[in-house]
Amino acid sequence: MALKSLNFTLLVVNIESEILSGLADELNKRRLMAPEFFALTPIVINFAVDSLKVDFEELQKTVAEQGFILAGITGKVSDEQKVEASKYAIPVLHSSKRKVIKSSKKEQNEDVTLTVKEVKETVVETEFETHDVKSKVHVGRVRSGQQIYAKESDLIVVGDVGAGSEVIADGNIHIYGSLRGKALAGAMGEKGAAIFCSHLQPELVSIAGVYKLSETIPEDIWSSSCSVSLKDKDMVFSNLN
Amino acid sequence: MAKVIVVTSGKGGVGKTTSSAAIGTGLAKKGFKTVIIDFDIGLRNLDLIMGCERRVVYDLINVINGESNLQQALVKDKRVDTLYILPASQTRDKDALTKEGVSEVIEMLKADKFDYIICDSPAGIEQGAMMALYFADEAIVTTNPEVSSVRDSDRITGMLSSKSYRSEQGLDPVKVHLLITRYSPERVEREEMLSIEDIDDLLGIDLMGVIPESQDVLSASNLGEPVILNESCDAGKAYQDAVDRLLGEQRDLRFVSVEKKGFLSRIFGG
Repeated sequence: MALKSLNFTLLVVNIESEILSGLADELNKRRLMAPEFFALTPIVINFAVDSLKVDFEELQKTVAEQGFILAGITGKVSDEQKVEASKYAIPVLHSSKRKVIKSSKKEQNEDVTLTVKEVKETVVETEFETHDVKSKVHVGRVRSGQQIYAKESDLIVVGDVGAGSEVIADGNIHIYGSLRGKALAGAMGEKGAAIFCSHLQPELVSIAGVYKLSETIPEDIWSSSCSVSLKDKDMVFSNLN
Repeated sequence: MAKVIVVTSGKGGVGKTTSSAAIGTGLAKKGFKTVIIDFDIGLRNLDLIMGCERRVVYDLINVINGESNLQQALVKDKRVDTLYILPASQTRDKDALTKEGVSEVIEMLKADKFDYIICDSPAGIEQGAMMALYFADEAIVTTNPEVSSVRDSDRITGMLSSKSYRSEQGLDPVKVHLLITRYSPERVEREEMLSIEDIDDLLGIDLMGVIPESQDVLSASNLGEPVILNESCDAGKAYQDAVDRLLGEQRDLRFVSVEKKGFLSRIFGG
């Protein structure tokens, strides 16, 4: 037996109102999108605004009714609410999320009372929205001989990726610049991962182990602004413009 | 405050030593107390280019090992009186360079009121090159207009941002300047050579100077006379411009476009 610390990825739902029917609708919508995927999924409720008069018993019930498990609450939880939550054995979680992301999220949610955080179609298919920020940003050129690995996250490179360098991510790779080196997305086998870049001139691109060398990349997409993804076992290039 | 500048490239034969000699001499000519250190242990060349090979008694490794003091090893230039050379050892190898030893020598030079300490790096990315760049405040990355040289320059630039004292201590990054040597506008026009724009696209480093391909460089090396002292040749002028830019002055690029032959010279030739 050993006590150790591990990170987990959890789905977070923002609530901005104590009326829980909205939450039920939202969860129901998610569940219908991918019933198997979301069955008995632990979720965290984020209290996005101050002094929400949430009935914890009802909250637990609402979540359970939709086939999810309430893993905890986070956000603007008052001291009274913390005491209240402990009566229902609901953990209060503290997010380690960076502030930058929070502010951008607020803008998105301004006129929406209830949303699943950063919901995108791709998120639903591939990955949960995460507790931590799951993208690594590299600003500046990646030079020959350098290797950047974004473990269990997306990688965003703002700058060129030079010949003889490697950028690797377990998630997607975004390159705002030329890709002249190697880019390997979905390094842990995630077939839904993709590579996006402004000028595709790579030595090699790989997604979940399927790769293409520069020689075999179609000429018409060479040097174009392009995304690289997998369809079945084939690599698909599509122009972004 | 003394500035440590490394002249490096990754690839061999692109003009590191020639450029170290020219830029060091150029800075000294401006009145700055300058020393050029040859880090190419075992393949000592700088003394030849500087024309002081017959006056080398002690070298960098002797100083590091405490076999001589710094003053004994420094060779004073006969043409420019603020210029000194610290030669490399010809009989040792690059493992004789240690971080502590190099640090000590640089501290001694700083204490000796040198304004510029130019480190002439050996080719490659091994111990010698790493030691040459480790303590740098600024770097002059020398590159030829061809792909392998550019790629190696990219590699060494990456190392400057990850393997130097400044990066390890989290200080301001090493300021990198690009020096393109052996540039031939005619061959660029014929698309036999990378252009300045191509190189900039591949490297993204601030351009400090473009030295044209010139016979004068070779003959200057053979004579042991830094090419910058030849004020009538294009390469000498281009090095002078580069030194001025290093000191923060504005200079337009010269010798980078094909000279159109005039009407008279077309008729009479030459």
